[in-house]
Amino acid sequence: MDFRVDPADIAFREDVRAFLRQHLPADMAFRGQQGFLAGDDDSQRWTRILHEARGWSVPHWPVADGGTGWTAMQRYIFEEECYLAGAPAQNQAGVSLVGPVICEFGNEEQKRRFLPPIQRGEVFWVQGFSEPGSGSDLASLRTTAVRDGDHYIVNGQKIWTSFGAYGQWNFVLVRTDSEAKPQKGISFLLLDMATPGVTVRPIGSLDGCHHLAEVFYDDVRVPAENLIGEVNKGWGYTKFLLFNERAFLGAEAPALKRYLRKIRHYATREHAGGTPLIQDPTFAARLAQHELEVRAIDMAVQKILHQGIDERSGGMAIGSMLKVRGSELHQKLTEMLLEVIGDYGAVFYPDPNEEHALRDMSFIGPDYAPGLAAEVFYRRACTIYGGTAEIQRNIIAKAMFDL
Amino acid sequence: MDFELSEEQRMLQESAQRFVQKSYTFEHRQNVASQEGGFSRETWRTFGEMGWLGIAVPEDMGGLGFSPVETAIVAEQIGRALVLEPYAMCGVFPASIVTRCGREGQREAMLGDIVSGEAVYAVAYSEREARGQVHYVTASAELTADGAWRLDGYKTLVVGASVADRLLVVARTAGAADDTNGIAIFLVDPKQPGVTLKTCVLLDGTPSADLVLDGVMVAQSDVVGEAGNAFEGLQAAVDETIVAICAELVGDMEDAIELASEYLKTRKQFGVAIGSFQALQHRMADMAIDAMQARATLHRALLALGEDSAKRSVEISGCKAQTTRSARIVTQQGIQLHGGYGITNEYKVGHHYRRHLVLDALFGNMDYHLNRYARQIQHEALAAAA
Repeated sequence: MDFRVDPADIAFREDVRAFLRQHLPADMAFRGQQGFLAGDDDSQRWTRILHEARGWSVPHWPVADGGTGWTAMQRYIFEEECYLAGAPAQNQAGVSLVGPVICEFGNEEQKRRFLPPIQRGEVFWVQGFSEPGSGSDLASLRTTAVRDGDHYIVNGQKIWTSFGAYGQWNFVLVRTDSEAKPQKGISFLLLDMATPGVTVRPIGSLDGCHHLAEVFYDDVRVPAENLIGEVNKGWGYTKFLLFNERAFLGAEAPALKRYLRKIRHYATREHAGGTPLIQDPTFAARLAQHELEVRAIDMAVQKILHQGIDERSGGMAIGSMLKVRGSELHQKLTEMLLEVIGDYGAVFYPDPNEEHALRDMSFIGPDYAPGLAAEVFYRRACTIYGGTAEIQRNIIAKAMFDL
Repeated sequence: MDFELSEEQRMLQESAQRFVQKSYTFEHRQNVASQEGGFSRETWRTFGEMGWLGIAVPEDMGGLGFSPVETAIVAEQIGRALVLEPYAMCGVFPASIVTRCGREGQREAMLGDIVSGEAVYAVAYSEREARGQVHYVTASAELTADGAWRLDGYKTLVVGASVADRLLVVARTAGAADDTNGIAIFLVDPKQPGVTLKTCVLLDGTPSADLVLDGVMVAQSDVVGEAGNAFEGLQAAVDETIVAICAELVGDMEDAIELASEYLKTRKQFGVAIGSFQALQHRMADMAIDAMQARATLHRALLALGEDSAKRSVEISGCKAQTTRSARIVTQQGIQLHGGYGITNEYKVGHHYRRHLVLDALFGNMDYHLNRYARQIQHEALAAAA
């Protein structure tokens, strides 16, 4: 055991920082530092920059498909530095979710057709998993796909589709065998959202935004060649996808670090009765408590990055453990950020990506106020998405204690 | 970074595991507590024979020449087994003080005794109003006309003092009560005139005492290191010992979780194992998460021990606050999950809770360390903004 940081990782971090200083556009970084979610323009533009400048747009993919061959630690450093610099999120559904599934289970033709546009930031993907009646119990999903010659005909509805309104392509779980056990009758389809019969209806969320959507499928004809892997094997591919999501993205530790940095910074600029807020001992003690928890999460993540996911690191449970505690911290820290700005914590700052943005209201308050409330509301979802905190605890109890 | 145990580390861990599983069962522990006053000299000598009392002491001073990482590996097993003999306070702590503060010649003689386990050393560092502040020392040391030192004052929580052969006493040669300058460490024989031990046992059954110093005379040769300049070495030794305590707490938590997990599978109510109830499953999940964070925090503390002194000490304060907080949650819930049995003396799980209360009090409690860490955040944030 030796906990000192490897010199090669320090050098790599410097390289990433230098790259970001040179290539991350200032306007994008400004928007990225606010709490609003990136729109599709910024996401795709950033992916193009990463790809063209250094070939860094899909580091975690296999090298043959465009990945960088970085170690897990390098990937984490890259992600963290991008986040701290305010780089926008890439199109996660494409880059992190369906991309790796196509790399792992797609055929050569599918790889040739779908992977390069994701890598180049040309096609925006959205996820079609949850349904009104199938949330935690995902395998009960009822959207159907019936084979008709060389097409599948899809009927049904998906919900909670992030960035649904921007979606150009959609990966959907569909029921292809209603007789089999729920998990054994699901297939994984890739669907062009411009196909007739697809209707997207945005859902207004607490943050005043419309990032989420319902997607309705009414006799949508999907070419059979868009099926991933084998028919009725979709659940296996889904588990692969969910495991990736939880294990490596679950805690979103870089975001936690950015919150801490912001709280420290804003709390020196905000004053309470003439004294910087940071000097309030109760406030500082609360911040200290959160910071210690975040540092523990960060160290636990580093351990996984070095050891990989196996029995020593808690096996299947570790991703869920990090997700549960990480999510709680996201919620606490975003609330604390809103508290920091005092009276302006009560003011509604609209998302610049929304149509009603600013209308005829004047801008008031500190320049760092917009987005903080949006992030509080967004983070309420993080104990729900990717498997609720309760489902994660079920997984932990089962995997660690066989309960 | 490397999170894998080396071959040597694995062997050390296995030997510590074997020892506590074979020779330090819970039954044995309860016997030591009830019949031997919480301390067995034979066990202490065994620790010495296995090299555990000098793990991080350099080889040329008689130790194993390893690092605090190896100390933590052993301390974790000490925590799991609820070992009564104060491994951290009478092993790690005095060895670290003498290694860091002792003069040449003096060091070798004292470390020989400590590392072999032949003599038990207890450290009189704390006072009632210190509450974790290492530099808060009111016990006085005055240089007399014949060149000896005269000690007066009152020290608290001298863990192991009632069974100790030697005491390392922290007293002030100059300055105000909370100055970092003017602190010295003296080697004192507990039987010498002017020394009174007011003995007690701690919540976990460990022997301890308050120490009254009333005109205790100490020869110049028994000043450990240089009189008045002991603070830095002492603080470093405190930090090293706190990390060993954090490792003990990790062991406490892991064992409490294992005990609870087994209990949930065997205890039946309403015709089923109570582990089938989701409310209890989720509590176990939360305990596991806290234990994971505690272990990660221990790793951070081990990393911090290598940093320069100002940063090191505050980082380690943060680690103690965090680890103790997790240990509190986990050991409390360990009791709760055992129902009525959890509060009985004959079930092991409740003793982990008792132990964590003692470890919380040593070197300052959660609030002290959290506030110390918070002040550092204030300082850093304001400096960055300036």
